[in-house]
Amino acid sequence: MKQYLLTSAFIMVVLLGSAQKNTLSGIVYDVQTGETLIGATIQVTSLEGKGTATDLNGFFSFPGIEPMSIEIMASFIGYESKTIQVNFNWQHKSFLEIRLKPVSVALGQVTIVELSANQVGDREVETSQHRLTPKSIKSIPTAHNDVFKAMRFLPGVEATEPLSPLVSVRGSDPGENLIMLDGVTIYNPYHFISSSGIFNMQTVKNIDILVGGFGAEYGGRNASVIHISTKDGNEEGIHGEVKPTTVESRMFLEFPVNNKTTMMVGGRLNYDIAGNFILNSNNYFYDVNLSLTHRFNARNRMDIKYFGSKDHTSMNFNNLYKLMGYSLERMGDTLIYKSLLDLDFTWENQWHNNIGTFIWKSVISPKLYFRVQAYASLHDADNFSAFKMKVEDVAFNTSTRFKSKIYDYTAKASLNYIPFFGNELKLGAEYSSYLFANGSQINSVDGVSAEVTPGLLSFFIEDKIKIRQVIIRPGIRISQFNQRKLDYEPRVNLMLGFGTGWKLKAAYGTYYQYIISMNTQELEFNQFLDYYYPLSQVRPSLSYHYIAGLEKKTGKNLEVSLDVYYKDIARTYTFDLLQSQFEAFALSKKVFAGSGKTYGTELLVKGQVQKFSGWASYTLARSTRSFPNIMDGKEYLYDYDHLHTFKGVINFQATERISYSADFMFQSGVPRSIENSLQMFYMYEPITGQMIYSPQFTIDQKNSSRMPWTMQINLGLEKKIVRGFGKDLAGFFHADESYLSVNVRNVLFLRRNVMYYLPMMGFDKYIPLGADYLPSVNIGYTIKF
Amino acid sequence: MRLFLFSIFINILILLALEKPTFAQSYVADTLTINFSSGILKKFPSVLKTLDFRDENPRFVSMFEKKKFLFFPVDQIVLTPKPLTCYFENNLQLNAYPAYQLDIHDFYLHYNESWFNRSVKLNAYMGLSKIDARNDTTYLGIFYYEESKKFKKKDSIAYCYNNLWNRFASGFYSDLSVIVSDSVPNHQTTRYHFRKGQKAAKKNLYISTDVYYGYTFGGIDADIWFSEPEMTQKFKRNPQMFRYLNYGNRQSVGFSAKVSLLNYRINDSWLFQNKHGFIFGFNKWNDVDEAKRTFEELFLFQYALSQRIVYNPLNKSGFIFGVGLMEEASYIIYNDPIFSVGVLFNCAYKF
Repeated sequence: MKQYLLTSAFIMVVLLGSAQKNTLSGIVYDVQTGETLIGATIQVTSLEGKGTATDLNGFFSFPGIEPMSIEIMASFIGYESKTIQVNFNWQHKSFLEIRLKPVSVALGQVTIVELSANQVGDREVETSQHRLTPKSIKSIPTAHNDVFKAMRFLPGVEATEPLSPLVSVRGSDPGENLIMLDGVTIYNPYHFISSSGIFNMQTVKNIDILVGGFGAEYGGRNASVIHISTKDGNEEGIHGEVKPTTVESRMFLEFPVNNKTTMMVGGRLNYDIAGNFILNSNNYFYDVNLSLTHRFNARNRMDIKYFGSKDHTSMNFNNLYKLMGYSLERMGDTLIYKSLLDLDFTWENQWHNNIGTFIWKSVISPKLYFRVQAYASLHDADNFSAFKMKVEDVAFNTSTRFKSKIYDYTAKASLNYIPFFGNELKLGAEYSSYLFANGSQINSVDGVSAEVTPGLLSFFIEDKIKIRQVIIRPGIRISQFNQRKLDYEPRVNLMLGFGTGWKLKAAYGTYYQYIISMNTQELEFNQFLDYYYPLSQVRPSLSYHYIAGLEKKTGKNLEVSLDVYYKDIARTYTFDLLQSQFEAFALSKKVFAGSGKTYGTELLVKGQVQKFSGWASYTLARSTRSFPNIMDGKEYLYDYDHLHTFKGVINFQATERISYSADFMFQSGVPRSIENSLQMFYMYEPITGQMIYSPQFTIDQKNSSRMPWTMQINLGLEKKIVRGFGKDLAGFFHADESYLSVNVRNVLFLRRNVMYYLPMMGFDKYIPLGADYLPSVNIGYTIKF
Repeated sequence: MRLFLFSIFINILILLALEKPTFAQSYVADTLTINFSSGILKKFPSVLKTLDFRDENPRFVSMFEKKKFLFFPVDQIVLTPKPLTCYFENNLQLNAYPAYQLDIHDFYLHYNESWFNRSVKLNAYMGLSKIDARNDTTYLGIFYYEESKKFKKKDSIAYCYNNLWNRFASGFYSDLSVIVSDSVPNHQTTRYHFRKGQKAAKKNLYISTDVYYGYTFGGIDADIWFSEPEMTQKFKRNPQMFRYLNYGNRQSVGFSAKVSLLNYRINDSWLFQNKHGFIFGFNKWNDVDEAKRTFEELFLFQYALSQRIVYNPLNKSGFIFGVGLMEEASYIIYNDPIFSVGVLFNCAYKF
């Protein structure tokens, strides 16, 4: 009750603070495509220090202007600045549709980094946030134009495993990342074969990542917010991009339907020809994006978006192992070749994602912006992997099957109110109805399945108050999960500006999470997905973020920042799926509560120096966990703990047509449990009448060994084609231009980046297993029209 | 040690960044300026005006890729000191009639360098119009040129370019003289160099399929390539090829980004073609256990050849059909070399 009163009083103070002065508002667009520009700056040239920036919807509002006539300048990185004379009407209002023209690419102007953009989450006040654009992702050779692979090069974001698309943010579990596509929560947005995200980068406008201390607008996750905005469609004409390669083909098209409606269509089909031919496998995936935007007038607009993806994997390595076995036999081997002949390694996966959303955006008044959205986000997965091997008299037989289904139906609305200059109030409400269904089968023994249909109701309010060089943004999020008691999440962000150009930023926040990921990385051969499980019978997981940061823009195009963070994970959960594999316990009985903490410091330099642009960062971090069922509650290093990380991306725009790029990552190895003893489980298989041996390697201490340092350097080249097949193909399709991209991955291939030591019981040996044994070259054309 | 090497790499990047932009630009994109001799075409007795319709810098004639430090690909751009039109025009008085106008639609020199020699190929197509005393313009037709020449490794790039230009210029002068003298351009020399009344043609896109049938195997090729208009009786194109072969106990797939397709025009309707090239591919064995196939036997090394007669009307789009023979020599580790011969049927569409 006390919190409600406080909140109401807070709103009243804000509303009464407004006065009758002129208000300028509007939306900023790209003149060529009609896309709204997020983070464009609007500056009143006659009033020093008066400036604002567009939000996620391209909207800005500027109240409290006294003169009846002013001159403003609209600017955005990569666009020509525009000066506009504004006269206010008798109602003291003016609404503008500002259209900015992209600058032509000239030598030395190309950068892959945006420094001063106001991003999702409000860059002015929020610390620990990064933006990736399609251009910056393209410049990362090893990213293969994929958002999740690109994110690994940001400070605080680490890959969980070399072959997995999952990322851990500041020592958290990958299941603690909130991934949103145009405001829709999307579950497991990953493809299997390419270990990449399901987002076709041709359809993406930009990606904003908040790695900690985010505001009250976002909730339901403990670690980070990854927000992906897709394109709306081109107002000016038909434009698109075709990228055919031997592995996959991508297509993207945007066009006007009429003078008020635009449409965007994108698709990708991956066909694993080599796998299908050599391994007798049937692997493919596809994804489809559709977007329809209708502008009723300058102030009202509606978006309808659909996204769908499917992964089908039926991969069997047995044929390959047989060939290798006969090779070894031919070379004179008498022991291992027989094992390879009998080896059975199978992966069978089926994943689907289907998302439909409706968004209405309205500028109700120059000071009031309203957004309402409804969506359905449906995900299901069925993953089976099996490994059977026989070495002399010891037979290994292990298999897992995990099934997961998540249906999320959500409606949400938010209101931005700017009563006077220097004050921005944001409030919203959200209701989600879920269905979570999970099932597991380990070593052919059926585990239990569970189906839960909880609901989540949330409200948030936050107010950004700007007084000269000080900005404070207090906020609170109130949530009720599964009709239980209310949870309050107070959050506050602070920015102090100093005359020297330095800025001090700080953040504090309480974060609740009502779903957890079933940790299966020690059961599956490679954990590609998060199997979400709702915490409907226990208290939600809880963490507190404490962040302080310093940043300074040094020179025109260079920025340096230092963040120090401490995350107190007061309550977290882990699954012990093996704990009761032979007993029919409910899944809820396999959940164990624990705690943990992560802390660290991140130094980041980004920007542009002459024709070089990019970023480099150093991170010193630590992450620990403690669970009563693991080593009697003793604290241990978490699975994704990297003590030192040095990484970055450099792009060299050599000429207008050629750019070189390089990415690098040097990192402490992760802690792993390297087993030193083997336990065998024996089971009778009634159908075949055989005994099955299930090996379980054991160790008395979790994550006791740290893997060696990993190092990787990758190189890339992109070149506008002047002659040759690509140019002819572009000419045939009447395309504007075509590009050739060449990526050389893993140039340090002689350095084996060990990810695991496989114990060879009985031989007193450990075999180091790495992921980067060979370099690889990837070549492809991109045709733009 | 690796960290030390990496720090050197970073230092080099910083040094490059601190240098002037012009240095960095010249480092990756060298520009060569080569002057052509314009003596022969200056002798042309009538006024010859020239317009450049290329979507390029007016001085641009060639571009090729070089590897700096054996690894970094950089572009070598070749320009002439004056606009290309200056090398065709003869600067006679403009009031002399009949005058002629030359429209350059394409003029490009392809430079190739191998271990032992250099070769340059010239592609040009240019429209010709006649301007009479009343200033009326009559379109006469189009010149097509495709000339290539090999040079020694020690020959300079400027020498190679100049040598080929001189050969082209003298041939063009001779052809131009025949055309303007109203001789009928029907003999062999000008058949491919000048097409009366024809407008500039675009490149043709070919999508082609070869179906093979042999005593022990069957298979299919899929090819795609762009072809400039035929400019000589003998000409070479380079399709990208995907091949699938089925031998009963194994299936093979292979790919080649650049096979060689040699063409010989028999008459206006028929072409003789010889396709050959190295293919690298993979085998899928159906008798893995019976024959104890090994990992090494996954890989296929093949030299493929085929000859066919093709119904391919000159300067017309549409379906193309052909019949001929294919031969292939394959090597698979632990297996005897394999030589196969079969008949082939070709079907393609020329866009």
